[in-house]
Amino acid sequence: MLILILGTIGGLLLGAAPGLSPTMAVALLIPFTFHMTAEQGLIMLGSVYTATVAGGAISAILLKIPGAPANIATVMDGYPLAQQNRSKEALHYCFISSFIGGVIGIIVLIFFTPLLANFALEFGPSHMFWIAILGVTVIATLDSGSTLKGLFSGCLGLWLATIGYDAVLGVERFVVDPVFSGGINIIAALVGLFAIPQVFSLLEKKTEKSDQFQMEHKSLLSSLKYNFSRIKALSIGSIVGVIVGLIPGAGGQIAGLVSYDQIKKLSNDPTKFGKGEPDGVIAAESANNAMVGPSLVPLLTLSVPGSPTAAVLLGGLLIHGIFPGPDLFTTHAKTAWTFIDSLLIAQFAMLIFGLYISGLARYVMKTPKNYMAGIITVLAIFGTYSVQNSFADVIVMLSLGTFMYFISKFGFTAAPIVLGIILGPIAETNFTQAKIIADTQDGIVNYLVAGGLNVTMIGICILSIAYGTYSEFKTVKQKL
Amino acid sequence: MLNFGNKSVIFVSLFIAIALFYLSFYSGTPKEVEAYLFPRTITSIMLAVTIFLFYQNLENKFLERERKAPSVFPLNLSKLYPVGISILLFIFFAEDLGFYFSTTILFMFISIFYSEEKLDISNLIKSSCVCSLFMALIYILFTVLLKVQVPGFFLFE
Repeated sequence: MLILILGTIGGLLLGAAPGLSPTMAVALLIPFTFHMTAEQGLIMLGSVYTATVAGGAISAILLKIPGAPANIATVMDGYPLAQQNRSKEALHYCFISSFIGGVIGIIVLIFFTPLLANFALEFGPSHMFWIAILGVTVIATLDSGSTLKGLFSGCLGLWLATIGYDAVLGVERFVVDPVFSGGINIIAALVGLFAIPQVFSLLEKKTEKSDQFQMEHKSLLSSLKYNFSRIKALSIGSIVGVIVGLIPGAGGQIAGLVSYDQIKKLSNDPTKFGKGEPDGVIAAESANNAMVGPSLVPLLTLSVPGSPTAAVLLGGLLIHGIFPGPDLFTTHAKTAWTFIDSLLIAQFAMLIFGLYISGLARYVMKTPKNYMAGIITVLAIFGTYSVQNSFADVIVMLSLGTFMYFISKFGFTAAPIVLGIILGPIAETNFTQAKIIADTQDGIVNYLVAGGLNVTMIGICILSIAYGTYSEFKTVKQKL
Repeated sequence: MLNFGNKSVIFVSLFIAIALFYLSFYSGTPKEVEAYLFPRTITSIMLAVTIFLFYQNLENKFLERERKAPSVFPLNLSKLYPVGISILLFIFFAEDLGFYFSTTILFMFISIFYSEEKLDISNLIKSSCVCSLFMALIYILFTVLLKVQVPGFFLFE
């Protein structure tokens, strides 16, 4: 319980800090969980994930800077509310609707996960290979603005995962320096690819002076009454959040923006939106939290993360020796259910501490960028080192981070690379096993495309690439 | 400020793809072919993706969008080279100087050099206090609570 409370408070504060996304917060905390038991580590990561998504709304409302991409839609009406000296009211709506959306999302997670897990128990090496490829493809096409750049990044991650010893044949590959002899450590990659580019980005920009608002005295009871009277905004937000969460790779920003768009379209007076309409905050925040639970359904059952943060959580599960997938609820049933239950309890903790902390969060948000960059760097260095007491991991982390910052300037994103590194060994091991089986049959190509399930997964891979290309094409048309 | 043209994406991806393709196809002995099958397949796909990227960058519609909403951003090298050099120095000297000492220097450097406030005694004292407090917290968390052994020199050994 103490870990859950600490995770929630830490997540709220990290989420409130501009630039610290839930993905990065979870990535930074993974090394700390290495010293905990699997249950403790997952409770910590789950509560941080839940709290950072809600905490990001604090800076969105008070500073007009979304703490995370999921809070982009919250800015639209949250900041105008703060300008009208109604910031406390806006924060109340934010945490209450986040709680409602979050609980609905976790209920979906509880009911859907075992159903999908039973189905996934039928999977063999060829299916697991395609599942890994599907995970990389989906994130590559949805997280990046460009399908081709996303696919390139995913392939780069898959290649980086092959550095070191081959798991099946035991051959050492691409060890150009002894630093890489153990392969690329998942945590070093996670922390480096997310945290170091953020340090560079913080330092290259000039801080914008933000207005400081007065916090009004607003009773929690009246906020609660009002919030529960906005059934339409809450329902739209929660339903959109659940649907978007179940689509692998879609993420909180899409949930928030789609629900904001829907509540605006269905409102009696759409002109109020953008000028401080509470329904805008309620719909956006209930949606981005309702997305959290369902985004973990494909992760826990198929190893396909539903969001970039879920991709990072996959790394957290792996370092505790838990491979999410078909047999998660048979081999690690206790750990899996502890994790899911803790997510539900974390929603209550998030509501209580969120309402309390929202008043204090102003101080965290005021942290100057130079200190923030220093803090992230030191945490990244110590966090990475502590996993294996290896300085080589720190070098890998800093090098990968610098390289990521450089290629991010060309429009490449970190999430597909990270997922490639995480799912690479799964894809390669199953590919090699499939090849060994196929050599006694009709050859590898026939084996990999045989059966309805393989064909379905190949179809989904092609569809996700086609959808990514179509969305990109549509964006090109809109911007012309 | 280092400005890249839109077509620089092709050169960067082509460079990475060819380098990895070369490494994958020209590493290992003939007996180890099986172990290199997966990376060779991956780098072949990377090369194919790069060719598609090349064709995409020849399209007028795409180029027009890039002009209106660019996806390639300038690299602010003049602002970032000090932190780049300090990270490089950290990599070379951290093990000898000790983790706490070298990270304290790194933190101090970042917070003072990149401060947007006027550099005077009071700001220096403020930065030193923030840095000392944070490093003390890191010491308590990693060394006292988590019992992580880091390379030591003379500070916090």
